[in-house]
Amino acid sequence: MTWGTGRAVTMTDEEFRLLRDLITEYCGIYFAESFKYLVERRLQPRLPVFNLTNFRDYYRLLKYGNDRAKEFDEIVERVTTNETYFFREAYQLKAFTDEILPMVMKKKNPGDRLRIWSAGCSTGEEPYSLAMLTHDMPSLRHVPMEIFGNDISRKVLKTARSGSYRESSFRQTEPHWIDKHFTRDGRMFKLNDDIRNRVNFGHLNLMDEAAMAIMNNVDVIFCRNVIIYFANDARAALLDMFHKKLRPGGFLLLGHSESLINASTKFELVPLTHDIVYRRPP
Amino acid sequence: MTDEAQRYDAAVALAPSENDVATVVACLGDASWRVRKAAVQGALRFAKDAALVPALIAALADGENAGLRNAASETLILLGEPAVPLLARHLTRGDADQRKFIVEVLGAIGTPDAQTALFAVQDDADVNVRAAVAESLGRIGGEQVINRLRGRLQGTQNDLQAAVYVLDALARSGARVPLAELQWFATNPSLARSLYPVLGNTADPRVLPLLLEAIASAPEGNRFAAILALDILVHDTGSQAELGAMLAKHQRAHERLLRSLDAESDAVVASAIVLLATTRDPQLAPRFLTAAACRTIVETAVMAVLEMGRSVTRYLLAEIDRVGVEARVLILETLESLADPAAVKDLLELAHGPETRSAEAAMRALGAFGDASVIEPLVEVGLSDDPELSRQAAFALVSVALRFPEEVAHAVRALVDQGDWRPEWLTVLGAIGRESDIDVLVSGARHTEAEVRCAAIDAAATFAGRFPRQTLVFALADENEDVRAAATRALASYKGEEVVSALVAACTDPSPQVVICALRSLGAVGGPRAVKTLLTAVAATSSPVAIAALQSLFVVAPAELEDAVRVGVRHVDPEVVREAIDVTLRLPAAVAAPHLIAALSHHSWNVRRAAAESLVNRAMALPGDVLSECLRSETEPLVRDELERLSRVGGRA
Repeated sequence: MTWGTGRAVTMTDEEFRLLRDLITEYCGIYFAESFKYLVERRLQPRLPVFNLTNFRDYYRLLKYGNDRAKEFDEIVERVTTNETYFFREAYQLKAFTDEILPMVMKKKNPGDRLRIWSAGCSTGEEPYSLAMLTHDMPSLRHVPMEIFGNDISRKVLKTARSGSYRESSFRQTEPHWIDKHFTRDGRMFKLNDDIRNRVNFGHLNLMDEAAMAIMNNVDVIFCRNVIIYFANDARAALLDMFHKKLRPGGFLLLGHSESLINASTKFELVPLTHDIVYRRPP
Repeated sequence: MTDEAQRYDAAVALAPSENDVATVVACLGDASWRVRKAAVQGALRFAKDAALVPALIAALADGENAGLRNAASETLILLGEPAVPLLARHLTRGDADQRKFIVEVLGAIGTPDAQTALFAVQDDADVNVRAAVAESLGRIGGEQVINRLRGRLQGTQNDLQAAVYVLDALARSGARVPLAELQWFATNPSLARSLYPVLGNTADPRVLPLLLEAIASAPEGNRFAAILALDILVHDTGSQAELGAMLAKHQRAHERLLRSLDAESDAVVASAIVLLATTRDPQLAPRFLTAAACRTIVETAVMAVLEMGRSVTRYLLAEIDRVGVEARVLILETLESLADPAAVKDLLELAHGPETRSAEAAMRALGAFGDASVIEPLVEVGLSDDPELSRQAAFALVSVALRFPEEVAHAVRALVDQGDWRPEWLTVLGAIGRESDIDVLVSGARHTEAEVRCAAIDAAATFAGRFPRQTLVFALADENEDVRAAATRALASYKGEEVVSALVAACTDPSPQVVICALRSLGAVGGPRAVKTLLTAVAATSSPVAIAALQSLFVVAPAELEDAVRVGVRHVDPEVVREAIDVTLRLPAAVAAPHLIAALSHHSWNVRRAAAESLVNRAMALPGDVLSECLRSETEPLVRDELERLSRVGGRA
């Protein structure tokens, strides 16, 4: 778009409210009024795709259109900040390897599976970080393990499955991880197959209770910087679902700015050396 | 009365013939804000009652009931000038709290008499009253007030709290205070945050180094105030070049400004960008865009970068892989505006994905300014297996074709001639619209793949009647609904009974998508048979069908339009009702009014808002207490905004 010459269509307050409510109904994600500008800016490029000239018609396309589910995916991908990177919030990952996993493994019998879920995994940096970390842990060498990442956006899953990343994904990654597990390909860094094959990805809407049936007996759920996007009701439902999906004694790890205050009382707080995490009571 | 509705009704009904001032005051102090709001309006009907103003002033002294105090203030402000003499008299009596509230009321009234009353108490014994006087005078502004504030400022050297309030008032009034009058205050660090905005308004170039030093050395809160002030000063004095030269030498101020790009306040970040941009250092361009990417100040950052010209290109390109998606997209949009051919190579690389938003932005940029050399690489992206990338490449080629139509058409046509019937290629050929490509589009309309047929027929719409009509009519019988829908869309450019008959027949298609497109085309074609079909379709249970019919009727505007509105507003889906409300714009005001008024009580906020907006736009009068009733019951802010606009534009009969 050219700045100052024919800048794209603006979104009225009414259109924002209608679109916002439709999005919340679809996937639980909620935008306060202050996000109108960003929602408008990120959805503007969708109008020419459908030959539309205003957001009201776009709203109707989402409400009545045959391909609305696909377009909702597109919206979610655009309006949520999919900015993630490898080894994000390193202190929490350290707590995971040094304190949480030993507690989890203590309760397991030989041959028991370790199941880790990265809920809202975006482009895959988080589950792959977990795969790299656990790959190098001698105590887990003979433990059957499943790492699963899900997201509501097909596009981010495509990137996740490709395992191909730009430099911006490594803003907090120590060089030895890159040297060991990635191969440079032009301006991209390609994850080696031994790590890539340790992670499964799925297209799941966290609000879709029926689709969530595939997830059970999870030991650790990472759901970082996801619940901040949810409306209060949706957040409560999501936490309820996580509670059901965790094994007794399983852990829930949220982003540093997220907490369960006013959202759920079913989890217990577990203070660790450098973090506080939530656990389903054993 | 315990019931809020009853109390509200009583407040609405307040009348001098029925009630006394004591009742008015009781209503103003009600626990419900809605009742208080109605009581303020009711109280104004007692303006001629000599007991009203004293009672309201007395209410200002009620330390227990803040609601009453606020409602009394609001009423006094609305009463305006007639209340001033009594308010002024009470300024020398009563306790400090009451005097402070009176000062605020006088400040809001703001008339010359109110100003006189305020100046008379600027040395009140109570510091809070003095501060309120300064603040109120600042809000009133104007030359006389500013001069008095300046005089007052010089008397505050031993009263720092008063100095803070006078400085805040001067800042609020936008006063240009001579630097000499401010110099003493600059020596006192505790006044810094209040002083900087006043310094920023001085339009005195000598202030520039003072504020720059403050940015370099002041603690964070004061630094942010200095940044905002310096932005104003530089703008007012046109001293961008001077500041740029100073910043180049003042490393600490420069570094502090850079750090302020991470500030929470969008305003501070925007000002920091504007100030740093005076250095015209192209290396800062990626920092500006990254700082602004997820904020509401995108335009400030982009403009600052664009003003540096194409010298920024290489720095933007160097950072493009190191920043997150939002910043990357913003960088690409900026590169689009810079239209620097040096960026083409990187844009072409990014156009291949895998990250779609960046690829989309890169292709938009290539489409906007790429020369003929980008055609072949874009065609290559168009061959991608990713349908999203293919589509974006086609869009970009259409944009390039605005400058190089023959070259693009030639490249794309060559592919089709070689048997590559990708739908995107037909879209591009259609957009270019060469007569010589009609034959290939006609062939496309007979292709075995439905997607190709659909694209060919959609492309036919560009030729506005020059495409063989019969091909489109036959396509109405296609087994694929997308193709039939495309054919109905394309037929909108044709006239004649045969076309109308075909479109009317298409309205019985089992696919709602086809029916919707046929109804829209009937709106473009017009005529009695089209109108009859459209009127019938308004009653459809399918919402998009009913909406399409209403939209077409809006275009045709037949004599029976009100019948359509009558049916539309009764539809079960609020979105259809909303569309019917829009159609009333085509009806005479007297005919539209009953429908709009009825819609004000619709269960959907969306419909109520549309009806209120329509009434505002047509400045229609409302009967009796309809507006009051709506305001009483309305809880949706967006609807209330429209209703309040309606009350301001004289919507009440």
